[in-house]
Amino acid sequence: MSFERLHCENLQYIWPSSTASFGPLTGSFQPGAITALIGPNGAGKSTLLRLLGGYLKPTSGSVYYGDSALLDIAASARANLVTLVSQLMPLGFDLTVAEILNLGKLPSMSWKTRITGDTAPQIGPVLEQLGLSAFHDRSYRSLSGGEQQRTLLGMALVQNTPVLLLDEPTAHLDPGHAQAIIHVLEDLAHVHGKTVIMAYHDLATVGLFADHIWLMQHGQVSLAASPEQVLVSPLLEQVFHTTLQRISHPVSGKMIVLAL
Amino acid sequence: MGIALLAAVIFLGLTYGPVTLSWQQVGQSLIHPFSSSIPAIIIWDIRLPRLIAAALVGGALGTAGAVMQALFKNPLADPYIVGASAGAGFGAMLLSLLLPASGLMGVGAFLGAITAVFAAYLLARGQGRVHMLTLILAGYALSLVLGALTTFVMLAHQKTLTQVLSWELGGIHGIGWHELLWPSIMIIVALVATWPFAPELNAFYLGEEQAHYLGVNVMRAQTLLLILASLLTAASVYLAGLIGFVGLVIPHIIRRLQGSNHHLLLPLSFFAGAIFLVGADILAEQIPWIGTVPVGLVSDLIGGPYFVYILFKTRVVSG
Repeated sequence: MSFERLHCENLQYIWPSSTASFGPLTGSFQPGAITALIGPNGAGKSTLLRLLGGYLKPTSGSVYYGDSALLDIAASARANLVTLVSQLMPLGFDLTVAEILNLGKLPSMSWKTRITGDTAPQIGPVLEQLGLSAFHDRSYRSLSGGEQQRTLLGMALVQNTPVLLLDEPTAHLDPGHAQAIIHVLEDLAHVHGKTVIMAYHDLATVGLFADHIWLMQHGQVSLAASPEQVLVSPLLEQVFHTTLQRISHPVSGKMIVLAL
Repeated sequence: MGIALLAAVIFLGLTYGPVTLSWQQVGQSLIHPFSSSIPAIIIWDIRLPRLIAAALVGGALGTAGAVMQALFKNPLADPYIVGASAGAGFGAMLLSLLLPASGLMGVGAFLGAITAVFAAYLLARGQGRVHMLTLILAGYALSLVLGALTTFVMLAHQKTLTQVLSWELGGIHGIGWHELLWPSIMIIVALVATWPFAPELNAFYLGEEQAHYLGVNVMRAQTLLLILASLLTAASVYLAGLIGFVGLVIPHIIRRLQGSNHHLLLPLSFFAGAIFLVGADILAEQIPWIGTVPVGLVSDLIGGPYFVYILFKTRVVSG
């Protein structure tokens, strides 16, 4: 299945009551590929994700899905195109894992389903894919950080949008689960043709799976290219203010970057 | 199950009061509504409208409480959190002062409650987006001002003081069918309009930003739900004055028993609130050695200790 391209034109955001600004930024994200946004804290990675998700309204410029400006699309229709998996959040009140996954169906819910709440059958495959089958009726608050992270990703997978934005999706996961999540995202992009864009902090592993890397600093994109080009660039040291060592992965030969 | 329990407790309420009626008398009178027997008059003209009012007010406040708690992501939110109670008190006082013999204190309370919520909303709106925390603070500030004004005027007019205080205690004693008609329609319409928003209310548990990504038009849904919860609250205030704690306590009890999913929480909060207030009203009708007391007093006496319990639990969890 082929999807439209997500792109932004002259995208700029100025924080209210602040001189801090993001952009202007013009660029596009390729469907069927994973784009990783890297950069130090405060570089603008989360701001870009929130602009792409339509949560922040740009001061100027626009985000487009194909030819349609995202902000011109009605809320529920937009949520069938783009969604964002946030970093862990405290829940106002507790819900079960199944109830949270079912929220992924909200954009396409019928009036009958709204009243009966009967949406259970479709979440089984996602629970299985993320290793959450045993957690179906567990309360979200009782889960570990990693399990909560997988539950939130599960909600986005049930939502099943062509564009998936993720804010540090592996931040709370052990290496095994982190790798499993990356495999899920690779499958979504490379097999199902979706556009996957994620803010990512781990320079050691980003080169192993990302198809494109955007290096960000001070609300600007300093370099957008393939991992092979970005990870060898001396800009990386300048942006992160540290000395880095580059080595090759013993099996894939892809680049691993370590801070010294 | 909820309907059967509610019917049972209303039936119990029909038998109980200053004049005790047998189950047979109640049954006979219900079958023959136009009979001129004394039990039929007691049941159809006095007890049934009062018990239906108690059920509607309890159910409306239980539902409004569940909605407010989800909107504000705050376990201590209740239907009055954005100024409805102070607005109602001010409106009741104003009507009682300006049109003392009109019997329009309830209408004043209704208009006061609705106006206060929307004044708080407009204050919080400022430029663009309404933040829920700002709304609570605006409601609080408005409550302080309206409360002070009400007290000031009441102190200057002793007669108004007595009327408004007795209204604020929360009572449905002596309510008739004609007072019940419009608030009932309003409550039923608001309830029917609220229930399909269960998924949006669940989404608000995850925060406004996540609700946005789930396709919720956050601003529109918040505004609409605030209007519906305020209508439920104002119609309840019109019927029964200020009934405390039902809107706070009932949703918490349901969450503990059935979880937080609004698909169940909304209807169960309605039925539990209705059953609770009908039960409180039955007790309030005939307290031994005292006689009839306002239902608000009984509901506060039961709800108060549970409120302290929630405060304690919240402190333990957050600590």
